[in-house]
Amino acid sequence: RIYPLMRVTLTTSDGASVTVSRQLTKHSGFIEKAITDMAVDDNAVPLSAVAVDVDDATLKLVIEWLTEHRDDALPYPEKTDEERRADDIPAWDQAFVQKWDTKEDQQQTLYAVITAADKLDIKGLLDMTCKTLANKINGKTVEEMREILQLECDFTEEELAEIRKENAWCEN
Amino acid sequence: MFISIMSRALLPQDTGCLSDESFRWILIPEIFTNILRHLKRKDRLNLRLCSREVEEAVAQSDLYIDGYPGLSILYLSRRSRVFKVHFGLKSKRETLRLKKHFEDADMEEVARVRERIFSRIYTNYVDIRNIDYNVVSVTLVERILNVSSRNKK
Repeated sequence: RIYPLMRVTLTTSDGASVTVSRQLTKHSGFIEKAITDMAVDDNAVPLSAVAVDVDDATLKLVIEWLTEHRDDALPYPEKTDEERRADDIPAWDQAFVQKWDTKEDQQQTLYAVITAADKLDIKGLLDMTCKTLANKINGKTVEEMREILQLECDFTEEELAEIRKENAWCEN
Repeated sequence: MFISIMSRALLPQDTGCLSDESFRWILIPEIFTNILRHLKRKDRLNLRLCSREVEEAVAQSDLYIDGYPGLSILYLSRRSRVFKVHFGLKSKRETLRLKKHFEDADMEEVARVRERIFSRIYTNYVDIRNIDYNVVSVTLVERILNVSSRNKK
């Protein structure tokens, strides 16, 4: 069921409010469940309010993605590992993510959107952003992975040697 | 889903890294598993070397090999006296393989290393061959597998 006339006000973790169409929020399992739990009559109550644990800047990106994908089929198709591909990100989604390259901290934005997609249960967005991150580290060396993920090595040399030994069992 | 509640309890603890809250969130098993599903076996192993947090996240993640029919996930070769554990189709390059010379003391190590590479495995089939249960205990085999199987055979 789709309720195109019903609008939903989302209250962000930093106190902002955004009102969007139910046509967009239908892709969010979290928001749909919250509305269902309110047990409101969709025809009688034109506006519902839902608090989301996502900041305003990130929610704007999520809404931008939802607007582009408002007509996507639901439920989101589950794929086996054989069917999964990391190189099938739609062109619009690629451009959407690449826009963040101009931001001061692109990696933090990606993490924030992944986190928001998980919290709001938006499977299509979560899958796309996870693929994007996977593509960044695919085939990279350990040092390159640390640089991309912005990590510092906190292992001792002995611990690294032990993990390398364990990995070698799997690589033979 | 089981991991939905459990995973947040398994959120990696603060180990003094520079990682922020957003990065820690992507390390919870349900998200990190999603990322790992798009990576090659070698990348999963390399990630273990990045940091303590990431190594722990790999250990807590699940391994999905349910897309390949007819796979063999545990195989013991007697002739070569090498204990082999295949997670995935034996002939497929992306299969995770644990290979260890067959010595009693090493069997515990095989189970321990497996537990650092993934938490649970999802597969359509479990194929166990050539296991001498007088030598390799059922408990150890169960520990190595930790399988959620839909069509056990």
